[in-house]
Amino acid sequence: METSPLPTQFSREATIYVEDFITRLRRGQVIEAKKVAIETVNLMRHVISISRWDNVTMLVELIKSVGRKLVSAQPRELLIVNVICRLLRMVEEESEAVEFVEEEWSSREPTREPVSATSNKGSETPAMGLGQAGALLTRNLTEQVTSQLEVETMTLLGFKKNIINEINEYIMELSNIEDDIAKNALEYIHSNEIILTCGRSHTVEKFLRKAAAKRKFHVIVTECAPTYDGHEQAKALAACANIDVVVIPDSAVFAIMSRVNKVILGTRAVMANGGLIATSGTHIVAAAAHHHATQVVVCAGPYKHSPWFPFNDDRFNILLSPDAVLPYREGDLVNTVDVVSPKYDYVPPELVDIFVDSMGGHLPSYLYRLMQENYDDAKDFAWNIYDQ
Amino acid sequence: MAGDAEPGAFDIVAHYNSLIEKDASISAPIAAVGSLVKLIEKQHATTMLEFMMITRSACDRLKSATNNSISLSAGCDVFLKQMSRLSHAQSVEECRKGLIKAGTEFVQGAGKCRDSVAEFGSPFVRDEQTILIHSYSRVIMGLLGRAVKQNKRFRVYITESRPDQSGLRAAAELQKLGIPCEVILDAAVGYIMEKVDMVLVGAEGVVESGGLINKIGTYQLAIIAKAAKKPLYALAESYKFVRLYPLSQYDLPTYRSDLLSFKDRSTAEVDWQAELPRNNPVLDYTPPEFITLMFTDLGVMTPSGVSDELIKFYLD
Amino acid sequence: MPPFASGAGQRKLPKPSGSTVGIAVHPRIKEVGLRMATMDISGSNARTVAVMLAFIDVIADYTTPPHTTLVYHLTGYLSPQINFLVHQRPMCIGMANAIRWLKSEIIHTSHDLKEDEAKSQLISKIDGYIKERITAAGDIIADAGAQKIQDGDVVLTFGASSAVQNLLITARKNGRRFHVIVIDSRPEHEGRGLVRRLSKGGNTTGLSDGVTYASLTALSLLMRDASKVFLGAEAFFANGNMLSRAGTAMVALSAHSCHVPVIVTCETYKFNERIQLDAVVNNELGVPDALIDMSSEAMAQDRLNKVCPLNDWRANQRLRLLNLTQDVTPPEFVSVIITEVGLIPTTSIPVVLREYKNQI
Repeated sequence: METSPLPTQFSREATIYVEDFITRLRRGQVIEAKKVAIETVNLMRHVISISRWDNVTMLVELIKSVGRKLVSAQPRELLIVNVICRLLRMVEEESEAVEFVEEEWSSREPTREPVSATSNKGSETPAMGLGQAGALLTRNLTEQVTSQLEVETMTLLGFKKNIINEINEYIMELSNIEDDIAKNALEYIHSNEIILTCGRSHTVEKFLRKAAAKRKFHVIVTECAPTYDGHEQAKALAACANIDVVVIPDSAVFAIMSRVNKVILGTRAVMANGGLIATSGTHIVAAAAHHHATQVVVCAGPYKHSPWFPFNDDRFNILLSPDAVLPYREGDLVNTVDVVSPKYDYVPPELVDIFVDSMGGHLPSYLYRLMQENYDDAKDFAWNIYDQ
Repeated sequence: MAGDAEPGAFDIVAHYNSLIEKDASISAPIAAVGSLVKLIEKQHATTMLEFMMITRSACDRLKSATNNSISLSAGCDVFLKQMSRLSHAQSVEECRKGLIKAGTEFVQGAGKCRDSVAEFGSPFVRDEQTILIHSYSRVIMGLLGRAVKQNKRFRVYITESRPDQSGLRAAAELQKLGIPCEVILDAAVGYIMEKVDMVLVGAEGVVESGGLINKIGTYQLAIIAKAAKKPLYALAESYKFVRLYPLSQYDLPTYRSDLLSFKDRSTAEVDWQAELPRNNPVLDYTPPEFITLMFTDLGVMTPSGVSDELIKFYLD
Repeated sequence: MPPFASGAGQRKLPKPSGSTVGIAVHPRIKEVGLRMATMDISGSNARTVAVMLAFIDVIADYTTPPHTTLVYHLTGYLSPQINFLVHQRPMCIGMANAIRWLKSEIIHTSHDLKEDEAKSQLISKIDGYIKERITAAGDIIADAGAQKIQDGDVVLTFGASSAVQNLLITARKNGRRFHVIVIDSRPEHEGRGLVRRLSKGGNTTGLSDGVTYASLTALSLLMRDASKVFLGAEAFFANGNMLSRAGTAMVALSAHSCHVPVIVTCETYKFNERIQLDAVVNNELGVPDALIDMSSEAMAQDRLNKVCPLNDWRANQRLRLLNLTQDVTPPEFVSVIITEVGLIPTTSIPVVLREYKNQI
């Protein structure tokens, strides 16, 4: 994909940061979900603070243009888009109750006199219906409410400070996300239960460890071909005093499922309908659990919520090197067969019973609402990004 | 109190019918709002109570006068809700003006709604897909038309959709767009489902459960799609969201006990062919568990998202 | 220890003497037993045929001791041979069925026959059993199954079943053009062998429009393309449950949920009158260390040099590796069983069992 040129207000320095991050993404040096999210936010914070922007519109455009550039470099990385949408929403929220006062960029003294507000929709009269007209209507009502509240006047610089503070808070939230999710663990895991999980997930590891602080239970870990990072997960969990760990091959999942009380899974991303984009192999585990009426619990922080619906299961998938599935050593075979090794599975929402994030548990059908809250209109950015 | 229109006064039903006749692309809720706007332009109530009573009774008259009351009542509901909102703080005259303005905008914005449904839905149409659609639906035509403009190649099966055979009309339109299409018997849905990648249906009304009310045959189509694990997407403009919570097929406002009831025919010679259409329902109800996603002008949403929108709209 | 991980222990090393005193284990039995233990002979059919052929030799070399008769003595003589085999590797159900059949044949041998006559009668019966119930049955199954493959089909199979392999080759001989997806799983990677054998009888492009190979984790992606699933079975129980190589149940489940027909090949000698409800009550445990043996996994070079993080698993009391080798597929996932007596639904298994019982 052609990378779009960055807009002119980009400083040379910012361009360097963006390019550097893109290079590291492309080289696969930033892989772990949380790391991708945090590094993206860090980059945005940096770009926002060193770039020049004179109003909210320019700021939004700045964030979008960096976002577009990152997405064109890594079009299948959902997390980047999630995070950008969240930032856009943040800017929107922050600017809603603000009236800007004109002044020199460098001046720090706030003036009392409000100048024309940057309200872009206030002049419209309430329209009807639930349609676009209706959306406008409800928005107008909320605006009427907010307009009754104190409208803060502030300078652009003060606004910038606020935004950076917000972003810092967001980074904090991201850094602690696994612990925050793990706080709920005791509600989901009881003593002597048999839990099954697949592959490596830091979120699930912390979740189980938290529960193990109070309770003793068994965890079955599947290997998860072709990376077999279930081995690492098992090792990490077995270091915990109260957990008995059993490693099984992927093929034994159905055989063992009749003895499993709960399946706890991590995921790479959650689609707006509650479907998962998760490590390949998750689908069969969830399907086997569903067949045995075993509850499937998915631990995922809000930054994994993607504003997309899964209209194309394969769009976000990546095919890995066939070497991991059929070693190049088996040269004679490699020549005669196609080897398929997808990185992710799409797991439909009906195979998931509950999502756990820092707030607690949510039904798959409710995820759509959470997504709405997280992103609101900012999701349009995601919805349009592939059209450009 | 309702229904007694003064002689010589504005006849809302006639106006509604003339709107529908004039413009084939207008849908019932839009025509209803258009007629109500016309009504309040002409009436001269002096108190708020009188104003509201006249409007309400006009809505009732509209609903009872047509056979398509579900879709129509969505328009009436929105209008009445807006009226009660405006009535709180303002005088009759302001309320009237506000309503006329909002209503006119609503009617003008209707075409746009259909476009944005197409916009949100078209990413789901992919190359080499086989799509099954039911009956004729303007909003589906809009979506498929848009997909064709995006140079997507796909095939469409269309149900004949008896008794009015509206599927034939859909086929003719799609063929003009250059989309390969075939019309199938309503009874062949089960046969063809294996070959289908997704199912699209329109809606007369989307109800509070997240389900929908549509042309007869939609429900059985949805059951087969679910059994075959094929996604079924429902397309609906948000002005079709109605405040109904049907519990079964027989819990719809259009329900008449004489539909498909057993009649005493022991003596007479029966003309079954003629009996068929007048003895059969025209709409059925599809519960939310059969709907994969809804494409609306508010965006793509799960059926439960529809309830959320309705709650948001009517509860604020 | 979690409740499911108890059960049968790991495969035992062969006991040099066995439990019976005075009767030596026949060298042919030793050979077959050891080859089974090293997985040189694997798969239900191969193991059963090998054991039955070995018994032919055992019977040929057998002489009845004085003061007893063949009918009374021979079964006792066979017991230590059988025990030896079981020590090498637990019997598969087909093999157990065949041995049970052989014992009953011995008991029903007429007392009037001379030893030589009795021996040759038994030998020809065993020969007949192998031919009728296994070899010929396999051919009939391959022919019947190949009929179910149409041009343009995408056939998905799991692991390596000899019956499925024969069926695919037969279909190719019949001129069918189809694509094969081989799903495979650790630790055995039997599917690689199937791919290799399919490509040996001509190149793979001759077999079909190609072969795709993937691991079990990629199943849900590939199942969408499949038009038919062919699976081999180790046994069917009277309740319709299918015992098979671990992973089979998930392939069948996935196919079932994608509305892809699941066609299972199974000779009737593998039908069992027992009922098994799930895979935990009875399962053959593989060597646990197979799970940490990454030598066949040739990751990219950097991973190859990395040791498996579980290499020292024995050092941690709380860490265990469980290598279940079988699973049980519920009957609702199986569309049809292709047997030598025809295509039957899973509900007809008791009928077939009863018919064979009546014949004896």
